Amino acid sequence: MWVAGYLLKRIAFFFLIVLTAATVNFFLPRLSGQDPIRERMIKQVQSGSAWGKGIEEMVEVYNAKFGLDRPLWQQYLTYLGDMARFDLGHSIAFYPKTVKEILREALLWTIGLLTMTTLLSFVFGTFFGALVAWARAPLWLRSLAPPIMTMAAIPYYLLGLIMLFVFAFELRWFPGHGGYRIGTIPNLSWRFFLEALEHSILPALSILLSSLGFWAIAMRGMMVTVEGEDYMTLAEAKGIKSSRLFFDYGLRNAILPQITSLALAMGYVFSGALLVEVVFGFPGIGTVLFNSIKGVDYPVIQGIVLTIILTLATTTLILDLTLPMLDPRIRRQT
Amino acid sequence: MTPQPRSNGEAHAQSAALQVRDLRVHYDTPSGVVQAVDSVSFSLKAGERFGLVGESGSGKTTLAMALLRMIKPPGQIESGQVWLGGQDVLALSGEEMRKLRLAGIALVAQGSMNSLNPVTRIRRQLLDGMRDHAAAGSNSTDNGTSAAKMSRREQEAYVRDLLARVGLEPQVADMYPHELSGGMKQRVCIAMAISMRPQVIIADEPTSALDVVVQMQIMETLRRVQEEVGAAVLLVGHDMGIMAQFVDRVGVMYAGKLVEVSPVREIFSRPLHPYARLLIECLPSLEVKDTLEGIPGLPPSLLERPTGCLFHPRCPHATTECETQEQMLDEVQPERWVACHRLEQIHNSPPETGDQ
Repeated sequence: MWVAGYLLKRIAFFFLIVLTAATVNFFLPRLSGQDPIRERMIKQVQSGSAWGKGIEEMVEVYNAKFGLDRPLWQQYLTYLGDMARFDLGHSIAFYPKTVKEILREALLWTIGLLTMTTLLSFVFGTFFGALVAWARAPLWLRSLAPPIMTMAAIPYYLLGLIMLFVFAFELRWFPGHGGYRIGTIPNLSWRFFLEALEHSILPALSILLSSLGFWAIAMRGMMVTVEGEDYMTLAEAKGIKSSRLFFDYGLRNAILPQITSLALAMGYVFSGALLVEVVFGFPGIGTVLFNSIKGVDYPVIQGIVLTIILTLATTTLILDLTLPMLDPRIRRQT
Repeated sequence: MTPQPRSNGEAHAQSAALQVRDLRVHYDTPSGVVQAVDSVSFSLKAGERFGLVGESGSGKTTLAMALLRMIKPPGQIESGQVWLGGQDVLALSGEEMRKLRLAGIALVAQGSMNSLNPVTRIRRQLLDGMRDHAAAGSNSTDNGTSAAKMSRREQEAYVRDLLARVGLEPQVADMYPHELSGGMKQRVCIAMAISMRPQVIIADEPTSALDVVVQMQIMETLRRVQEEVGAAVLLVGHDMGIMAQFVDRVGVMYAGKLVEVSPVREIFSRPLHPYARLLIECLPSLEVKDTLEGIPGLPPSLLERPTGCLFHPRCPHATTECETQEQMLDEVQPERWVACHRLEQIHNSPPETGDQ
């Protein structure tokens, strides 16, 4: 019976988080005191692509078009309504394009790169960390620990720069920029997929290598703690096979905090590797966010932040729903 | 190593369930070698209940873990022999030893609160040990309780039977450890320990985290199931009250050595070794109202152990002989084994009460 109440509570909590975050997301950029349309106009005038005369009128027209002339509370209500329909409006920088279109293009790249690397580094890092703490694991495996843990101390964008230098510029094994070759039009073909894969290897590797150690360190710590628990001693005294001791008793208990971290990491997938995307010129969300911050493109920034919030809230919800299945002790408390 | 293996109660060596000879365990620490268990010898008859008492750090738990061969580095079993039935425990391979655990020698552990895996149901924890003993080797052929060969129905019946034996409802099988009280958890641990009908059960302070009423119930349960399966019990602890009610014989450990092994009645009425005697005099009495007194001094550091008799710095009867000469455990009276130089002098001049 706890299930229904628990579910309801979690889902209500999910909406509360999204609403709060969306509200902050609305007011925060407006507090910065910048006037995006005027700034855009001034930039265009400076670059000579628009006439200096009539700027004021144009600003007014555009402000009316984007609804920026109305009182704040009206803007807020409209905003909430739009959010509910997931209508993110138009980009200011790439005007006729909608934010949704921009996000859709970028999201695919980011999901492909970051979801994969996050999951891979979680699986390998966690397993590796558990084995490093396991006295019965082979020595060669445990001797890999120092280099991998050292790698974790290097920020991934720095690792990315190093890789870029070594593998793209010096050795020329992999392309150094973008998600596909210049001149290729993205399409759903096998060839394009391979091309994109080739371009993803370096950014993926730099994220993977630097986050592997992060998972491994956390897991090793947990595993060492679990190994000191009384139930491990008793399980050994029960004559349990080493493999069962490792998986059923050790890993099974030590992995619980890791799952929480994974949910949080998945939520940050879209923002987490911003710098890697920028370093490699990868056409993902990170690059888009970077450019839209530079261009003071409110709707796009808001759209991205909202996406990040939604993914975070969703992964947290998934976590809340799965963790009780993995750890029976949680069921009672909520 | 030692020329003459000495063991107490060795008269019926063949019927002994567990026989320990000159067992030595040490820990290699950065500050030196700690001799945690020093030439300990004793044996348990089938079905016997043997109590091992001593202060904290006297090596009781190390001894218990050594019998299971679960001493972790930097600890190491240095020498000695452990015979379980006809098997030389210390000569077994790692895999053979694993199979001997639970099937031949089972543990009821110290921290009952955390001894169960928090994330799996009791049923699974009762069965998984047996599952891993499938196709058991020579040591457990006639136990007939290999879970792997059981059908689901038989397993269910088996779990039900195990729980009933320790006085638990069958529903407990579906529960998780956090849903059980401390006493119930320890009952589950006892059910596990007897699940493969071992010859020896090591109970390492099985009641340490429980209140006195539950303690009594747990000890009663342990006694009942132990008699049912005919296992010998090695009860490790420092609760003399529980010892008096539960065990047949008591071994007193001091700084890693056994100093006296005697039947429980006699050790309480007339302890022979000065340490055992001071220990028992410490027990509060219901009749005499007096301030509680301990044994003066502290147990020695195992890094810098005294020469001769380890107890001599605190012993009221110590002489120069005690300071230089080590004394082996010896059968000074029938069934009574004591390691003391001055036994005759102390006990031939009675009611002198040992304070000179």
